[in-house]
Amino acid sequence: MVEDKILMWRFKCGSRDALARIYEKYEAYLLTLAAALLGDVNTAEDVVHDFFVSFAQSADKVRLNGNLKGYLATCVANRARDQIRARQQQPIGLEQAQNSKKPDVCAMFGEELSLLNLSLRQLPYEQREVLILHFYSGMKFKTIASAQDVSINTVQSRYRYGLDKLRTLLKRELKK
Amino acid sequence: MRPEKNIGKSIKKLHITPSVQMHQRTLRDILKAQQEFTETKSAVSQSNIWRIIMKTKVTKLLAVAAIVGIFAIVPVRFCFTRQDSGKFLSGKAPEGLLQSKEDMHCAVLAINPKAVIIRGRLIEIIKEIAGGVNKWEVEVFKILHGEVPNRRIKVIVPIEPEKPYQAGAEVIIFLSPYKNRLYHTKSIISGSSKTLDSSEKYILNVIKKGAYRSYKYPPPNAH
Repeated sequence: MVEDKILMWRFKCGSRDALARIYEKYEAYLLTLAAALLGDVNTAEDVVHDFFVSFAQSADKVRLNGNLKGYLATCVANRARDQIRARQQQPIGLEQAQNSKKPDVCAMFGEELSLLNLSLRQLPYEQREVLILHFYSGMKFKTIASAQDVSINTVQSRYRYGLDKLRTLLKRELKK
Repeated sequence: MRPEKNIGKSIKKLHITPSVQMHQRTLRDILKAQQEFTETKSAVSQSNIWRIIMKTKVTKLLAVAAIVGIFAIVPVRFCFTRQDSGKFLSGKAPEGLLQSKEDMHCAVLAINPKAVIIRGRLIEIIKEIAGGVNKWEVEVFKILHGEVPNRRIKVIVPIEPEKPYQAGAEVIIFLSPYKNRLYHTKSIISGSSKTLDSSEKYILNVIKKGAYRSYKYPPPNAH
């Protein structure tokens, strides 16, 4: 926490080392988060890349109220959501639709977690986002609700439905 | 561990190691973006760190405590200063007090420094400089805070002829740094009369009779 505050202060003062340190410290975490949300490593890399470039250009606009890790996770989640919306608006081709469930893409987290990743990708995005932000990033429902601009009851509903559906999907995958 | 049993732990185990190409490309781009940004816009001023510091809860709490402390201490100190502005000493009279025909007397007291009760800020200890019993002058040789000019101060003790002070009697001397008159101490004594003990009240009553009004040191029959 203290290190993050010092890093942020140095970053706002224009320190290149501080920015590089922030990037190196949270790169893997944010990439994993984006990949889990998007289900695609390449897109996740782009999202993380674009976010950090934007972050580097907005040193004077950043107002950090909580911790840096949560702030970065929220920003990446917002960008991932935008990416999902943009993808939904684009027409999808047949070949692209067939490739969307390729095993190599699904196994990006390793063999052990491939089933979980496959099941996560079948969840509606809103439910998936709540589950990942809650479990992986450790965010509270209140924080997630604030980030998504919805009520806390909505977030809790998404969490509950998402968890039930994920359990069902995992059982179904294991039976196969 | 079956994933459906403990979904939370499974999700926490998700991890992707960034590729070297991605790492270097992003790092290069963000440093370049930061350099362009700092060239086009001025860096954030140093004063912003105070905004950061003052926004923390601990700092806010300390600031509130400091303000409350100032507002609590200043009036109390002001009240005590007013109350202690009466300047008087107490001590034992070793030889009694010389009586004169007037109802006002001068006194020289051998003040024991440990017995001195300091209620004013001005005088700490007085000492006897006169050898004879007819000269009643004492000198202030230690002045606290330097508010009194370092000069000789005559001590005037009003007593009643019927009740002369005896050796060893408790005597309270009111000191006036102004013109050797008790007149200036009257208001001070009256202002703090609530805290006076019986002997102080006795002298205060003498003063209130007005016998001192036309009195100036030295008394006409002292020499």
